[in-house]
Amino acid sequence: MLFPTTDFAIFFVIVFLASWLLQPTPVRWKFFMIAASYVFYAWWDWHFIFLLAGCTAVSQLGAQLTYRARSEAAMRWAMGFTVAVLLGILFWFKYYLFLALNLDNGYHIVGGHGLVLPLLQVTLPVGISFFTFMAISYVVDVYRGTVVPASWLDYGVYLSFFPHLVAGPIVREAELMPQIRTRRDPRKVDFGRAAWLVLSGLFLKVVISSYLATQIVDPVFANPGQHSALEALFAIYGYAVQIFSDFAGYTNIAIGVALLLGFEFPQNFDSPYTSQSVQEFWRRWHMTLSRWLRDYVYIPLGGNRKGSRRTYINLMATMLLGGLWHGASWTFVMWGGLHGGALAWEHHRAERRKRLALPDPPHDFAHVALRRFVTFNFVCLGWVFFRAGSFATALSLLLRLIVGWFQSSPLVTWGVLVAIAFGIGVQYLPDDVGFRVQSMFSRMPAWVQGVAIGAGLFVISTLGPQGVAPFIYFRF
Amino acid sequence: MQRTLRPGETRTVVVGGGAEPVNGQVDGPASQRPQPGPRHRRGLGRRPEPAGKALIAIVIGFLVWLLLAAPALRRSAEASPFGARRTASIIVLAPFDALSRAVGLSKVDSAAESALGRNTGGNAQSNTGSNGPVGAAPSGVDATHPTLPPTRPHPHPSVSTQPGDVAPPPIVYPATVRKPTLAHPLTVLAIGDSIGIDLGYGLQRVMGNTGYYKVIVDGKISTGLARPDYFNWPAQLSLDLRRYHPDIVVALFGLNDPQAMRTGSAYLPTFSRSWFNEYSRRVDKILELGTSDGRHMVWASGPIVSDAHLRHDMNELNGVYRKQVRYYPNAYFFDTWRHTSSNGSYTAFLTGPNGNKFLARTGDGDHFTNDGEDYLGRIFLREFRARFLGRSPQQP
Repeated sequence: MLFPTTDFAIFFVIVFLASWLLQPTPVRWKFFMIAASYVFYAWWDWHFIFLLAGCTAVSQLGAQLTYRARSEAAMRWAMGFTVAVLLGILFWFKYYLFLALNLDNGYHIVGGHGLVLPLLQVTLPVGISFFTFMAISYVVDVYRGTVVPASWLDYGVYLSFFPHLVAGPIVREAELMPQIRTRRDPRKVDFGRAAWLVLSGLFLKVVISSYLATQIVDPVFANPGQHSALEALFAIYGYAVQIFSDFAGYTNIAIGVALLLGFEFPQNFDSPYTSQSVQEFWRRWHMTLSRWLRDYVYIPLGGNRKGSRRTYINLMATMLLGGLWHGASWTFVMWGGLHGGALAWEHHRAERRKRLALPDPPHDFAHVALRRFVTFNFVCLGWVFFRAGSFATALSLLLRLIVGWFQSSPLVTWGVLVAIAFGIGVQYLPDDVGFRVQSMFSRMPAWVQGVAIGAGLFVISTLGPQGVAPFIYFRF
Repeated sequence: MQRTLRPGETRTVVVGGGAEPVNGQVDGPASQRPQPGPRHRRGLGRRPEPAGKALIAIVIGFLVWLLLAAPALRRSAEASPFGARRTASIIVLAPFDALSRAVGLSKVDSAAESALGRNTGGNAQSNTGSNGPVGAAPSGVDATHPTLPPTRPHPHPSVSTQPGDVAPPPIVYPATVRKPTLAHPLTVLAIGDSIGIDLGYGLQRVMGNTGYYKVIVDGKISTGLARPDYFNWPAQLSLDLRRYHPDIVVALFGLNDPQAMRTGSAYLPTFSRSWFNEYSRRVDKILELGTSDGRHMVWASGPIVSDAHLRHDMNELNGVYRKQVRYYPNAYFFDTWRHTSSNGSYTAFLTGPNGNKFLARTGDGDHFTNDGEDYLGRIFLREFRARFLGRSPQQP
C-alpha cells in the first residue's frame, strides 16, 4: 500500500480509530496492529506475508536460542547461524540473479558453454532490506547482551509495524520495543508535528519528486546522448532533489503516521545537502542506515582502532556494502566506492591535520559555502552512478557535461529550476519555521485544523500528477 | 558478556537521536560526532492533543479535500478501468461532486487546473518529452466523445479477428523513405503506453545516437486506445504531427487495452465481436493519421509478457494490429513479440550481440530494462534499414 493513495487514507482512518480504542487492552491492540500491518503489506502482494512471518519467526527463534545458550561458543553459533539465514533470504531475493548473470557471463568469456547457475528472475519483496536489517540487529543485540528477547507478540509488532515496514526508518529494538510495551496516552497526541510531517512529506513526494522525475530526470537519464550539457547538469541536480524529496518525503510521512499512533521514530534526514564534508553528509542522510552500518559492519571490522590503513579499508568495505545494500548492480558498488574513497580521504586529511597540529579549516561564509558546494557536487557525482542503469549511461551523461554545451535545452524550464531550488532551499530553512507552524497548528480548534489539512491535500493533489509512482526506496 | 537484563528491559533507550554504541566506541562513517537530535523541541509551544480531536480534524480534512477536489477525483475515477472499484468510487464521489458544484467549490478546482494549463475535458498530460497539455482536438477528431468517427471512409469493411471474416489483403511492403544524412536526419516519433516509452527510449539511444535519426518519444503511461475519455491518442498524435513533422511514426499500444469499452451509450464487453470492431476502428484511426501526407508508420506489436492471462490478451490485440496494418501501404508491422520470446515462450533473459545473456525484462514481467530497450532498438533499426531503406544493417 502506498502512503499517498486513497486506499491508505481509508486504511489509516480505521487503524487510527481502532488503535486508540484498543489502548486499554494491550494484547488485543498488539494482535490488531500485527493484523493491520500484514494487511498493509499484503496490499502489494499477499504471497510475501509468509516471508515477513518467516523472517519474524527465524529471528525471534534465533534470538531466543542465543539468549538461552549456556556458553559463549553456543551463543556465537546461534547468532551466526540466524544472521546467516537472514542474509541468505536477503541474498536469494536480491542478489542471486546478479551473481548468476555475472558468473554465467564470466564463464562465457573464458570460453565456457551453458550456464553455471540457472537464470531466475526473482521478484524482490518490497522492504526486504529494511526488515531483514532490523531482524539482524535484534539478534546481534541479544548476542551482545544489550537487549533481551522480547515476547513473540511484541516482536511481531516490532518487525511488522506498518509505518516503518517497507522503507524504514530502520528502528532499533531499543527504540521501539519500550514504546510497544507501554500504553500510550490518548490525551497526548503530537498532532501538530504529525500533521506537518505528513503534509510536508506528501508535498515533497507527490509534487517535487514526481515533477522532477517526469520533467527532466527520466528523459535525460534514459538517453543522455541526445541532451545538452545544461540538461545533463540539471538532470543530475534534479535527481539529487528528487531522491531527497522522495525518501525524506516518505520518511516524514512514516514518522508522522507513527506519531499519530503514539510512537516516536528516530530521525532519518537532517538537511543532508547543507553538509560541508562527505562524513557530515552521512551523518545527515539516511541516518538510521548509516548508524546500522557503523554498529554492525564498521565497528565489528575494527573501526578506527587498528591503524590508519585498516581504517581506510574498513571505511571502504562498509561503504561498498552500503552500496550493494541499495541494489545488485555494479553501479551501486561504484557509488559506494566513491563514498568510501571520499570518507577515507577525509579521514586521512583529518589525521594529517592533527599530526601536524594544523589549525581547523576556516569557518567564514566563503569557506563554508565552498565546502558545501564541493560536497554537494561530489554527492551529485555519486548520484549519477546511483541513478544510471549502467556504466555506459553514467559515463555518457558525464561526457555530455563536457561536450554538450551550446545546444538548446528545452527541458531546463523555470518549473524545473524552481523545484530544484525549493528542494535545496528547504534544507537551509531555520529549524524554528516548522516548529512555529506546528505550535500554531496545535492550538487551533479541530475544525480549523481540518480545513487546513483539507486545503493542504487539495494543493498537493492538484499540483501533483495523476497517479503516483512508487517510492524509490521501495525497491531497496 | 553481561546477562543482567530481564525480559522487558533494555540497556539503551534513545528515541529520536541515534543510539550510542554500548561499547562506547564512537567512530566511523556516521559517528565522528553525536548524531544531530531531532529538530523539534518537545514541550516548547506545541500542545499535545487528544486523539479524538485529531480524528475529527483528520475526518474534516478529508471531507474538505473531497469537496474541493471532487471534480478531479471523479474524473480520475471515471477514467479508471471498468469494474466494481470504479463503480464504487463514482458512487461515493457523486454526492461530493454535486455538493461541490452546488456551493461553487468546483470553481476552485477548475481555476487551479486552468492556472496549471491543464485540460479538464478529457486528456491527461503527456508523460515524456517536452509536450504541453493537449488542447482542442484537431479537425476531424472528436476529442471528448468516446466514439471516434473516422476523418475519411474506411477503405475496407469493419473487421474482427472472429472466424469467418474476410481475409485481409496480402502484405504490401512500404515504399522506401528518403535517405537520412547527418545534415538531414529522419525524424522518428515514438508514441504509445509505458511499453511504447520503453521502445522509444531504446530507439532514442540506438537510432538517435547514430546521428542519422532524431527520435522523439511522446508516451503516456497507463494509456491505450480503449479509453479515449482518459487519454485521446488520435488527438495527441494529430498534435504531435503538427508539432514535430515526423518522417516515421512508431506506435506501440495494448498493455492497458484489455478492458471493456463504451461507444456513446453502448457497453462493449472485452473481446466481444463489437469490441473487436470498435477497437479495429480505433487502430485504423491511428494508422490513418500516422500514414497521412505520405508519411510512413511502424506499428510495433505488444511484446510477450510473463502473465499468462495478459499474454493471451496481448496475443489477441496483436492479431488486430497485424491485420489492420495490411490495409495501409505505408505501414509496417514490427513483431516485438517474436523478438522478445524464446521458442514462443516468455523469457526475462535475452542474448546480446556479444553472446552474453542479459536481463531484458523488469520484475513485473511486462516492461523492459535499459538493456532490453536497447536490444529492441537494435532489432528495430536492423529491420527498419532492410525494409525502408533497402540496405544492409551496417549502412546508415
